[in-house]
Amino acid sequence: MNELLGIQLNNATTDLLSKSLDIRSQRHLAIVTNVANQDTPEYKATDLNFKEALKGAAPNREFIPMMQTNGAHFSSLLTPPSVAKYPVEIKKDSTRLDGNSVNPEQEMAKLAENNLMYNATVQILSGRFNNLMSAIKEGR
Amino acid sequence: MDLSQSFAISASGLDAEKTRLHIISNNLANVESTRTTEGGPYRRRDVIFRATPTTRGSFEEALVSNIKNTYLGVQVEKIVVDERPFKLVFQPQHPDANADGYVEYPNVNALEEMVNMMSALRSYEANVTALNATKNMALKTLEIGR
Repeated sequence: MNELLGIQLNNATTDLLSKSLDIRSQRHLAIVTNVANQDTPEYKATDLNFKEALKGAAPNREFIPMMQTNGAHFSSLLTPPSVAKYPVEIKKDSTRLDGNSVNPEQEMAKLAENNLMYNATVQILSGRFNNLMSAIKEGR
Repeated sequence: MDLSQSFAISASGLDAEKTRLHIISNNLANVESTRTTEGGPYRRRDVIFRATPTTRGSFEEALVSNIKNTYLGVQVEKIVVDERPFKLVFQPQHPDANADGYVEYPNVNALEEMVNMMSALRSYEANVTALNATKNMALKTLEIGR
């Protein structure tokens, strides 16, 4: 039973969802930085390719979990993900005289999209936990 | 959490744009000021922005962003004085008129200031939107498992 619960809580989907949340929040940071620096001379816009970042952060098939020599040990999957540095793309070409490469309209669109995707991911993750809760409560 | 840094960066943007707006109102208010404490007519002022690590985040965040040169907030580095020549208006009856009857008026162009103000306002609004999005995300995160 204990094992079952462990599988439910720490399976690959939950792991992937939490990682994509992490990447979304990191991308949000990049966008917010661009918005704040839209009038800074010589500032270059940065962005994060979500797909690439997720590919890099996806659970490695050769991942070797930490050994549990005692039943009371926590699963190594429970340890928080390491602070992964996602590759950052820098937009070097600028059409402005001040050398700034931020496109405010594009940034606002990205902000909205990223925000929406973040909320969607949270909702899916929430749904998974709710399913589990429903099972625990025997469907009541 | 990364979101705290997002808050700090948006706040730095708001702060910088607000300072810019202050300077613009200062210029507009003094568009006709022929006398100042430092003598002579008022000189137009402008802000210089600079990308800088936010100090509100943790030490580690500041260190990392400083080294990697990513995710920098913005701050007003300095306020510069515009050295363009003053506007000369022929007004012999004016107490500040020179020997030829010309009065030196500030080198402020109201039109330029208005355009600058609109740009600053839009940037400020963009930062508010970004801040609201961050808040929305933070609140949504708290809903996990509810």
